[in-house]
Amino acid sequence: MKIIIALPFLSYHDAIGNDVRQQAKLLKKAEFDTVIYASGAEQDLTQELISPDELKEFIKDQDNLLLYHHGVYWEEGNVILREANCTVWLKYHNITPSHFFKDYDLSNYYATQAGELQTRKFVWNPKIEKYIGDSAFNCDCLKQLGVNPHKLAIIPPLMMIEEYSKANIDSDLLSNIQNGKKHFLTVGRVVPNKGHSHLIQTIRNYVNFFGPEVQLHIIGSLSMQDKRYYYELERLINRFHLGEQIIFHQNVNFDQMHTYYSVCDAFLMMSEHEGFCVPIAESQFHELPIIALNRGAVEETLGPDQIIFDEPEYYDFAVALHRVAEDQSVKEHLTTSGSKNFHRYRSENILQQLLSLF
Amino acid sequence: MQIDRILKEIQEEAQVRKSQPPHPDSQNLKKIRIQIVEPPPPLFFRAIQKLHQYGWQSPKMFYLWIASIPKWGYPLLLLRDLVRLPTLRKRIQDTNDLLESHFIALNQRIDTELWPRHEEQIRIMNSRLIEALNYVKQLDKKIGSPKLESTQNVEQKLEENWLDQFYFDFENHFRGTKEDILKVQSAYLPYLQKSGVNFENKPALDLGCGRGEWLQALKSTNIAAKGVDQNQIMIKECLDSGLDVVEQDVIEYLNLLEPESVGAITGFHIVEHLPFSTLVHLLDECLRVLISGGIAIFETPNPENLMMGSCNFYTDPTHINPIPPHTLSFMLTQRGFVETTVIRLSPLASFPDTKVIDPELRQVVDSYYKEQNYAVIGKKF
Repeated sequence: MKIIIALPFLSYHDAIGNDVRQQAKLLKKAEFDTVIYASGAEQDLTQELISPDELKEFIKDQDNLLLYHHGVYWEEGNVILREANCTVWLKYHNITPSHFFKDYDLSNYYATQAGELQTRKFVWNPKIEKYIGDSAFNCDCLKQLGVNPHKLAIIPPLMMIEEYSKANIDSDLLSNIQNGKKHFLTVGRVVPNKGHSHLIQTIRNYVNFFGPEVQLHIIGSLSMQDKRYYYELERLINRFHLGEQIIFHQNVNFDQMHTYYSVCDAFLMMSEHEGFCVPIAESQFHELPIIALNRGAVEETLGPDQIIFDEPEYYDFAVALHRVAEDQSVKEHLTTSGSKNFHRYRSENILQQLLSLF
Repeated sequence: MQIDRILKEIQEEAQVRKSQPPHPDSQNLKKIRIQIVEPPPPLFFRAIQKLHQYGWQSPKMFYLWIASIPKWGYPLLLLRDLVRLPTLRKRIQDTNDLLESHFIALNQRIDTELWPRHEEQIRIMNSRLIEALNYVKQLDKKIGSPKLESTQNVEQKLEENWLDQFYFDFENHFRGTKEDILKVQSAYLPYLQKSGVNFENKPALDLGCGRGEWLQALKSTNIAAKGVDQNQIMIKECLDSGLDVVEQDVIEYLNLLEPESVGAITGFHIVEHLPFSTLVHLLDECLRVLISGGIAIFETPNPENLMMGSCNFYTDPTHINPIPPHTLSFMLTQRGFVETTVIRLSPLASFPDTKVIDPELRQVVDSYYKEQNYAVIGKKF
């Protein structure tokens, strides 16, 4: 049996790309003949892909397995599923609801809408034997659309987190950060569903309560397509005079990322929609305490015994941040339960779950 | 438990801090611009990047160079596009041709692959649709003009009553005694019992129940059943025997029934009384009212028997046409019944010794001694 993993685009710094590359690597290790197909890839990764002709040949063989990763609309995906005669499993990574983009970015609005429609189409595709969700939240979404619960399985995405153990601390960055201030971190693309306004309001209240000696590092690509969203954030930051406290970081390398995770005092997760939350797992790996807003799959990713709020109460967030940064016992409590929770995301455990489906 | 305590403490502290004045330093924040570490490069650097990316001789760079010429840049590009217009037109034409060839290929595929595969089903569906539309038209007419009890209708009713008495006497004379019929029809009981239908909720229905022999047989085996017949005298006799019967035209009665409300349907010597189109309608209605898994049995004289086909069939003046077994079997299948089977019953009592018969005449003799009746049994899927 050959396993064909298909996705629209293979890249390095992307949750789906990481999941696919790790899946291929670990399945190969488990002696499964595994290949990857993508319509495009970052330059260095093109060698890892098979050609469209090879794909056509492989998916016609009934003994093979096609593992289709769905996280964005993919025109070619329709053709692949139509032509597939082999067993098909769908890995559902969730698609951000289009309404988040409606007022900011029309191209993303239409793209996510098309993605949502494609999900509905996949739900009724009789060729798909199994639907694998990253989280129970994703599986619930599929169940609501009409997927038979017997066909559903929850398997978290494979991540490159263990690679952090090989990363080094960036000394220049470290010296910059160690300036006597409290440092908080959030990671994720600067897009409308990530709840940046909650972050800004939280920092504003933190400054009002405890003074301006604080910095929030927002790490994530800032797409200039979403200018309207960016300008809105800029206006909000300028209104509260938080230019010194809130910093956007672009193109952060692996060592720098490791440094931020290792040095910061707490991680903030205020996203309004998450199908799974890789930065939470990364924070738990680095023993960084987390303050989160309960949306989507955030609570289940975070695990038990953590600080999570059902509603965005900015006063509470600000006090919680201060408490976590100052009170060592609270910090230890959160990081201990966080580390325990991280065991679920270890590659060997996830691979075991995947293999149990075969 | 500990986390609940921490959350409670946080909320309490937040309430306290809300009521306190803000931190003194928070009022003197520096008004500096938003900080983006490694923002997108400025326009000049982006131009250099593009030059590096595409090379200065590439069409893209050529386009950018021309566009950057002040005032004349865009008119020049417009001029260039005008020059390229015929080429573009040719390209559009080529694309058009390609699309057209695809459409032709697609049409061919529909004609050669899809149409033959589904032609029969489409035709059957069309014919059923036309029938349904005709039926709706008839219903419309009925609803639109209710019939008055004219003198002619009363006369017709009288005539029908006279026919009732005639047919009752006729059956008693020709069809055989009730006991004989009961014995023959008992052969069908195992089919109903095997069908696995719960007749308590979905009773069996006997169309044209006549003197009620079959209903009697069902009653004795505890199968709930109902009979329908138009003959008032026969209905009276059934009621006197304590059977559940209705005096109505079978088609009209079937039309009133809910879909999937009947466990089994039987019609003994009824189909040969009906014109072809009415028979088809009867089969359709039977299929509609039967529950899934329920069976329908239609018994009729067997024209394969020479005497039956040529003479005895016409003993009953109300018979229309003899129906050969394969025709009735096909009709049931064509209307949607499954697992259709033919069983032949009532053979002539004495069959001559085959050794005595001349081999050339054997087929004729066989046909002469064939079973006099047959039944087609169909099942609803």
